[in-house]
Amino acid sequence: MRHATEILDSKKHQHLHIINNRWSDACYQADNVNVVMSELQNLVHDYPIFIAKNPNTGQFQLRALLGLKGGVNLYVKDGQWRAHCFPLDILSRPFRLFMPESDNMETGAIAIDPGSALISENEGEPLFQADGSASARLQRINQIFSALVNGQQQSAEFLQRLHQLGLIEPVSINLTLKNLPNAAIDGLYGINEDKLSALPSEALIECHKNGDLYAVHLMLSSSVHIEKLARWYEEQESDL
Amino acid sequence: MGHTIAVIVIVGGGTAGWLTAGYLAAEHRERVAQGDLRIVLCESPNIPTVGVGEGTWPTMRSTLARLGISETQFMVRCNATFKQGSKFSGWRHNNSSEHCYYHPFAFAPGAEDGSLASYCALTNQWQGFSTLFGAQQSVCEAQLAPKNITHAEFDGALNYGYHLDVTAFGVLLSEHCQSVLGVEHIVADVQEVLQDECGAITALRLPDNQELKGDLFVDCTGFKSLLLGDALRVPFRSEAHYLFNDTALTTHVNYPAPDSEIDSCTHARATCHGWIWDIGLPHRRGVGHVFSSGYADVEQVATTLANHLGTDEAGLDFRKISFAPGRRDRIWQANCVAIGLSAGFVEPLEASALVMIELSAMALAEGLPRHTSQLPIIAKRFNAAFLYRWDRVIDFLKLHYALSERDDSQYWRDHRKTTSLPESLQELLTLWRYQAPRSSDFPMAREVFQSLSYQYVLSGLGYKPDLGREPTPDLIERAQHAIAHNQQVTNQLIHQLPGNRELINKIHRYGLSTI
Ligand SMILES: Cc1cc2nc3c(=O)[nH]c(=O)nc-3n(C[C@H](O)[C@H](O)[C@H](O)COP(=O)(O)OP(=O)(O)OC[C@H]3O[C@@H](n4cnc5c(N)ncnc54)[C@H](O)[C@@H]3O)c2cc1C
Repeated sequence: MRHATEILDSKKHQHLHIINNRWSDACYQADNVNVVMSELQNLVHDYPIFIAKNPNTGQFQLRALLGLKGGVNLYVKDGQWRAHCFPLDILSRPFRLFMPESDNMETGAIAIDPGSALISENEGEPLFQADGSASARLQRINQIFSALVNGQQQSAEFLQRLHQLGLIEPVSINLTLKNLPNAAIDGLYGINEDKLSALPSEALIECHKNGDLYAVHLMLSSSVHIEKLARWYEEQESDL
Repeated sequence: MGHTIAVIVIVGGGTAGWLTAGYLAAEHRERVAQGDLRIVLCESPNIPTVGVGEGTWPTMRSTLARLGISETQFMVRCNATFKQGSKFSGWRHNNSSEHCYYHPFAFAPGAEDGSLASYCALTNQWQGFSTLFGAQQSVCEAQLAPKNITHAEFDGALNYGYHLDVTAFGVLLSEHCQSVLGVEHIVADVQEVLQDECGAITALRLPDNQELKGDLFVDCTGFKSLLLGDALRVPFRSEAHYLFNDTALTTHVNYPAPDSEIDSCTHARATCHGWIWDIGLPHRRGVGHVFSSGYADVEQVATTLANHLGTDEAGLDFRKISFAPGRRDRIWQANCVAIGLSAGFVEPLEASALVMIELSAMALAEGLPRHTSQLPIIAKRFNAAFLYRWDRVIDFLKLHYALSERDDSQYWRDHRKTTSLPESLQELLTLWRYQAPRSSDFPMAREVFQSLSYQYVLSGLGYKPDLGREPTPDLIERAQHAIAHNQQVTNQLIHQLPGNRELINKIHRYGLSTI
């Protein structure tokens, strides 16, 4: 269980500051994060992108793998983040979106865990300006959440189209690494390339026109990063 | 001599008729599409289906998958819930109604040979067998579902079947068989069965002097057994001397609140007259009291049922269903095979009717003769296989009564008289006085009830074998390992699995993915 969260309030939290780039914080310890379609173009340069099911709804979602083992983020090493671009999900932390009606994005409010080590009264960037309006930092957070929320729907529809074309299949990543429990990379889905190349031309043209094909190719290209994760994983194991 | 089989006529549009049509049409998809094989189902506009039968076995999952019906669609349209087995309360004695045991659907790996059950007998844990080696009883007690929303259709963390609204299921099957599988549908009363001089059926007479011709006929006419029984005169064989129950009083009741949890097992509670089933669907519970008209009258039973429900009898709308426990002497004769109630029926204690329909329909579809000259051989084999299965069903159901120590009525006392036990069951019980049930006790590869099911009932009812030895170190090690593993799996599942209602709500909302 995580700590209780509080909805962000310009009065109550007027003096809160947020500490940036402290990647060793617990909130960044995740072996995967949700991503949305609009991020693909950037993220595929650094992260392997797969499909997984939302544990609450069973619907397909895009995921970036950050590690190979429960809760371990291989992108964080010695307090540094080993990539140029960041998933929005990571940038949104330690904030969270509180949605009282799970299907109504309009009701969403930004929430914070008051116990987070990334909030402070004096260190870091302030969240509110003296007049109570949102600081530049908070405005960025707002933008990130709205990109995530809007992207979620678009991504779900994209994946549903791929599924209807039979392009999604369960994948097993076979790596022979010492001490790697296979369970960590269970439950992932990827693109079936045979089915993709066998798509009837009409479907292919449609996929090309609506941009799905481009996104699919981005995802396929991202699988090279698995090798990198494997290497990092082994380095980390031998450091221990 | 003879001719090829190109037209199969199924009479009856209950669950048996449509499942048979579905199996045949799905198995022979290409032939049906090419017009080389026609599957015609004829049902009466006037005679209603029996309208009960809300519990299935896990086999229903593969049946639906074979027919090409999506699990999401099935669950939504048939108001289905997950069934993970049966819970038997009050079967052992009448003095403590709290005593209960489970017959869960999950397999206990390594238990088929009886060794793990033996371990329980040797270590004074006989009645703990089902929880020591399986997680499902604990999952059912916690009212959890057998799977998560992320599981694909028909996949699960634990084995499961369904509870369903059988009328809605009939409608879904009928639509699917016609629109997807190419089954032809005729709504008409069969008035007469026309036969040739050898006794084979040639055609059915419908109103307005129409004739429905066919090469092979499937009798799914319910208790009537219009073709096999009435026309071909295959005698009915009563099993009432083993299984006394011949009547059910059924009703529907509401949940205390719309979001009350839904149990994920069938409840079977023994009473002095018989037993009460309690089956949870999302919007209501189906409840019924099964009893023998020779031992109790409807008024007595209605009172017992109302008491069980904690309501006033007057407020309940009972339906009485009478049936003759038994089966036909043969199930396949000439070019006619009976599937469903027309072949036979015994009380629904282990919900074995639908599974027998599925097994029969599968055997018919897979072994479908191409030529009439094959019929006698196929009939002989079919009869041997299914009469054997009927006998095993009777043995297994009777076991629940034979081992009971209830003595609150003549009904229960008579149930354990040696003269009321099939010989085959007496033999098994003699064997099991000194050993736990194991798969080699049964000759068939695909037994309806596996050795594990017998182990659950024997341990549940306290029929402990006298093994006369100490457990070997090897057995102790294997059993303890299995127990530790099961403990871990149980804890994990209790933690991970959603409530039964929660998952059903999600399925209605989001659906299950096909992969
Ligand atoms: C009390 C009770 C509880 C049960 N509980 C369970 C359970 O929990 N689980 C389980 O698996 N099973 C259960 N069953 C059994 C289950 O209900 C049946 O096996 C199943 O519904 C199949 O019925 P059927 O299709 O054989 O017959 P029916 O549903 O009776 O259908 C007969 C069909 O034949 C047609 N017909 C009849 N005469 C003619 C004619 N002359 N011309 C044309 N058509 C005709 C009718 O119109 C109808 O369509 C239960 C049964 C009873 C009685």
